[in-house]
Amino acid sequence: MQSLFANPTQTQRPDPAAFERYMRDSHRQVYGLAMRLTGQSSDAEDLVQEAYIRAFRFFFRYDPSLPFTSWMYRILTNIHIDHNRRKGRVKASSLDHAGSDGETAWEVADESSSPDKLVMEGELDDALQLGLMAMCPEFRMAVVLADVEGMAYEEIADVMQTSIGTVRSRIHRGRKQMRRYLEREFPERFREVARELP
Amino acid sequence: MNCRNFKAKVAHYVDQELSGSEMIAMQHHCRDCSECACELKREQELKSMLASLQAPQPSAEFESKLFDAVRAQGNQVQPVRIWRPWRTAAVAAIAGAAIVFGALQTIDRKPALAQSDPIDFSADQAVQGTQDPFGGTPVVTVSSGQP
Repeated sequence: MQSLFANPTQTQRPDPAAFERYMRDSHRQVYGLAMRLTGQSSDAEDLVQEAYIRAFRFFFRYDPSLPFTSWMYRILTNIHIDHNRRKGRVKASSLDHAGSDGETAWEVADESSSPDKLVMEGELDDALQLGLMAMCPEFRMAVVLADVEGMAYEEIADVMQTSIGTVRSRIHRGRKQMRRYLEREFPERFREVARELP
Repeated sequence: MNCRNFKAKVAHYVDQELSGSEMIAMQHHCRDCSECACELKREQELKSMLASLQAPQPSAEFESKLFDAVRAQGNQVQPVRIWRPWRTAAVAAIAGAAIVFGALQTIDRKPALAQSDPIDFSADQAVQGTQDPFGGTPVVTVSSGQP
């Protein structure tokens, strides 16, 4: 697996012009990932800003032969995991989805909306976002990178700095959690596939 | 391939992350098992829905704020100090040499210190003392009275 970071061999001052060019090309995509991971625009904005500031400080470590977006994803996911650990978010026993320990799950961000209403109004994206938020952060990250970003398992392993085996497990368990959540919360929409079959 | 194996691998089948022989085994099982065919369809549908999610766009206000924040950082940022392995190795070598030198010095001094301990002079012993020419501890030699 090739590292996204070049070897730090010498002291360098970041090149603001070069960094800004990379930033212009990538920030919308990076914001998209942050939105899918956090579910809230204010949290996504904070996350993106922190990620770019950190990336700028360590820009000398970026290896230009590799995609800048992947490097940014790696920084962003690290920050997101750190934030979640620091927050020590409350585990919600009301959701029966397994977390990273196989027993617990994370709270859904938007509890004020009625899930069925969202789907009836055709807001499928919102329902899917709720489904993503029903997973623990590590599972959500793997599923978003695979399904929303269309990345291969090897790339995901590189971004998440973990093994391919762990990525496989997270995607399998994450999708399972999400399906259970969607089928329970939005039965009209997500159980129809099962009924279509003989 | 049984249903349990199929369900364990269905996510990776949809992602095309299985080997060729595993993909074929999954297809064969799916043809014969309607329950697993349903499982596959659900998994494919979920993946397809996630892939078609609209990409959220940042507001123009946020874009402007983001670029300003990074530019401000550019005006403040100091070059990051790089860790150089040779520098650490050199410091460690100097420290190690100093410790070894100190230890050798201590060992060299030990016999002279031992000789300065009080000596019980018996009647049948003759004592002769000489002054250390370098100002160190006087050297004391003890010889028996018997030839």
